[in-house]
Amino acid sequence: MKRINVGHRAQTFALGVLAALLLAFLVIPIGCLILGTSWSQFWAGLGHPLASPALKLSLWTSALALVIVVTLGTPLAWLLALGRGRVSHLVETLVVLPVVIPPAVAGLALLLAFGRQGPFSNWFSEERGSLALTTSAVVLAEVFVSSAFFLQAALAAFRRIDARLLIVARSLGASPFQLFFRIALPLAGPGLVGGAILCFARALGEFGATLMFAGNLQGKTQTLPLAIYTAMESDLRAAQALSILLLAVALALFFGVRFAERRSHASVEGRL
Amino acid sequence: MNEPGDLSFSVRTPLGTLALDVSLQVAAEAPLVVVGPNGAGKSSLLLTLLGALPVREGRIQIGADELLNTQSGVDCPIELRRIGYVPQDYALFPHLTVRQNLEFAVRCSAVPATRFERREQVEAILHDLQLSSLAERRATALSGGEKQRVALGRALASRPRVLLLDEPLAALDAQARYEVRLFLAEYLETLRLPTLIVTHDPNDAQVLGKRVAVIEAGSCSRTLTWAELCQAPTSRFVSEFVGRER
Repeated sequence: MKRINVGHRAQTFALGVLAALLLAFLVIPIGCLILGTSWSQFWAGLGHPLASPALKLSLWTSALALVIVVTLGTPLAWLLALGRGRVSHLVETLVVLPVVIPPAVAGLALLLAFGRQGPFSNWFSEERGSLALTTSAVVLAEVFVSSAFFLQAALAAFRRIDARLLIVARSLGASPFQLFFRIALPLAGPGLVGGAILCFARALGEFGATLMFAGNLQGKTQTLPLAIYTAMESDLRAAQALSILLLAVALALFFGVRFAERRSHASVEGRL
Repeated sequence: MNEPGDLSFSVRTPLGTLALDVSLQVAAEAPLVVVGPNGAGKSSLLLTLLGALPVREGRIQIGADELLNTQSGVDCPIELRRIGYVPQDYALFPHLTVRQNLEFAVRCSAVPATRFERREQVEAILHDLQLSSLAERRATALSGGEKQRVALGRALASRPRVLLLDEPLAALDAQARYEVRLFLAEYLETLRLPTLIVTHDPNDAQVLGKRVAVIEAGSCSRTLTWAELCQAPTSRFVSEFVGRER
């Protein structure tokens, strides 16, 4: 009888050890975050004065950022998906760039564009001065860092559509709106939903650009991640409770994306 | 100028390593079947007529209406050509029902119609193509032969002036192919639209086409009847195609 020899087993074992190290490193902090608290501490933490305003602010600014990104980003992604030329390649690179731009850099860039010294500063009254340090700045920062996640997913979803469907639709005489609303949108729909969820999750977790551009003003620009940062200085339990809350939302969104992706492939293969 | 008329064209354009160079005429009363070996440019020819592939040099005309003339710079966009196209695997809109597939085409049509007329038109096509009982089914839940009829109906629903069918029977099994072929031959007879059919199947050429054109290595410029093709095979491909290889 043939047997896997000892050398092979040792090699598999070595690979397994390396893999297990990273896995452990990833899982342990999450475990500590969740297990290092009790229900009563968790509820007490959520009752922290920073918690409720920050949660509300986070949810509605992220939702508004999402609406802005989807409304403006869907046509952009569709036009880029149709485009073949050099210009559309260039624009595509530009719009997905925020994925790799560090949030602190994005925050500074936004400050330079929309702050007191920016080109739009004379649009604002003397006492307002600029958008910086306002709730609008929170939304702008979220749009800036999260749009690329939606655009990438939307582009991929539009490109997965069978080109022949689009040729047939156009040969039937479809107008650009008919092609977009009746054919492209429904077929790319699940992929767009997946992208929207990713975009919302990114906006919800946004920290660096918001801190730089909008500041950390309680009730005005202090979103949940900023509240965690602030709470940590005085009350670690509260920070922990808020983190678990944010983690739970993120996990829910993650499974939402998974579900949307599965639907997306089904719709393209016509199994929907 | 939108009177139905013959389709005539002459297109020359590079296609990968191939040079497509085809000049043909299709009359309303005589469907033309285009045959040729794989990779000879048959499907690409249809796409150039449709306006989905660019043409370097040429002219496409339906009756007196010029769709393309590279010399005078005329290039009618695909949406306005009013050419009905049935691609090889039918490309039905998978998220729509049979009725919605037809409704989409009717609504897109360049021919103005009231809501009532549009509904009548959909019903008429459903009836003519024996699709009434399938109207509410998803396009993905149909057999090959049914899909073929929906794709044909959808192309017709936009009131085209010319019909292009790419391998209309290739996706069907042998039994269905025989039945659908006879149905299609009869139905095309009643339409009296200039029709161009691409196929690799000699039976299709014999039954569906009044005229046959052979594309080899991208070029073709004359049409024959099936009998003429059989009598004087012009190439090895043709003699094999008509079954005269001995």
